[in-house]
Amino acid sequence: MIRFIFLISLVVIVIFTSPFLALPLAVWYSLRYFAPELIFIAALLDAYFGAVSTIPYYTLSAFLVIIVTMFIKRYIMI
Amino acid sequence: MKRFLSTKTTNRHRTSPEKHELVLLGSIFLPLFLLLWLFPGLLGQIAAPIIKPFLSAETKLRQSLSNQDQTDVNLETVELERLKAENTELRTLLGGESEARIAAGVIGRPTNLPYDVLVIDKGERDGIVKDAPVYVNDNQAIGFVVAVYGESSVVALVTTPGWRSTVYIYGPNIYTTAVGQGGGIARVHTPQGIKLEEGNIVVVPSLSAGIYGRISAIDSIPSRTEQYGYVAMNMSLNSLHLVSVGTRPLSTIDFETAKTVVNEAARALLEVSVPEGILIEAESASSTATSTTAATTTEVQ
Repeated sequence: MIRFIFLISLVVIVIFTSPFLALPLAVWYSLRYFAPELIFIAALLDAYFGAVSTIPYYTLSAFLVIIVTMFIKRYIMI
Repeated sequence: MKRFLSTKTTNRHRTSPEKHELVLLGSIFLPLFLLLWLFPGLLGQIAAPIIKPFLSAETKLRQSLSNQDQTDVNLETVELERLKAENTELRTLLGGESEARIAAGVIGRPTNLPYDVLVIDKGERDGIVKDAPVYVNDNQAIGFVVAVYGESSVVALVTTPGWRSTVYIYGPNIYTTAVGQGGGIARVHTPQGIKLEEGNIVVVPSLSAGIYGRISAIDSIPSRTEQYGYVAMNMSLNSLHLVSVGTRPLSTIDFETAKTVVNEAARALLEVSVPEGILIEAESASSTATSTTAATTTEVQ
């Protein structure tokens, strides 16, 4: 339940504020949980808003965030 | 020896959940990426009913918060004034006779959204078509519809980052290219000898009609061979609540058509949008007299 609330909060923040504000929260969320749903949400945002861009920045960023946090997770005590 | 072998076996088991996670991530990422690349509209249609309620709720929350700021004023009066202003704005937006237009509310603004776009609350069901021009006020075009969903649409602005548009600048009277910088600003790049001034009016011929904005700032150092002018719309993007959308998609225009649009925009510089009832012209004076006489006659009877 808490995870779901965090996820909804992250979606609201990424839609309505700067992506640089959402990025540390996404990193924290990904460190806390294994979060492939971030890629799906990012893909939805790219699909809806990203008709002006040829590169799906949010999807690529979400994928990279999850990959990086997966590899640094073993060195951080969570 | 045995201890070393058992340690190696333990390490191998520890890495396999990560391999499963990597495989799962890849199996989610690759199809989504391919779907975005090959069929972006399909995923957009799925995203639209999920994202639009967030945008509408945020707009309503902003409106209710601005109403709550009026603590000492009767809320009914505030709402009445807001409706009157909205009515006037709608009449201005839709008053042009040259082209049929659809009024739409703005539910997402570039400063608040990913990708610096505008989102409006009308979509395919309301007759919005892709590539249709979007206007504020009577004839100020700001962009065009780049994606249409069931009940909402996404508008790309002239100032969307990286987007290039051909503009005409009055004053130096030149055609040049403006590149979107985001946040309602586009930038033009001209040689040092061109006399750019703050306040020079800018027209975007491909957006069919109207003045886009003015040069709001200039970045010019005499020792450099080029200079930059920053173009801003006449109104702040945060104050955009209503827009009108053309019913016909834009098409690429040739230079002769661009010259015609520029000339018509120059003539329109002398005109001001005066609200109904305030502008007095020969035809409206006689019709007013007739209606007054009719009213008087009715009252006598």
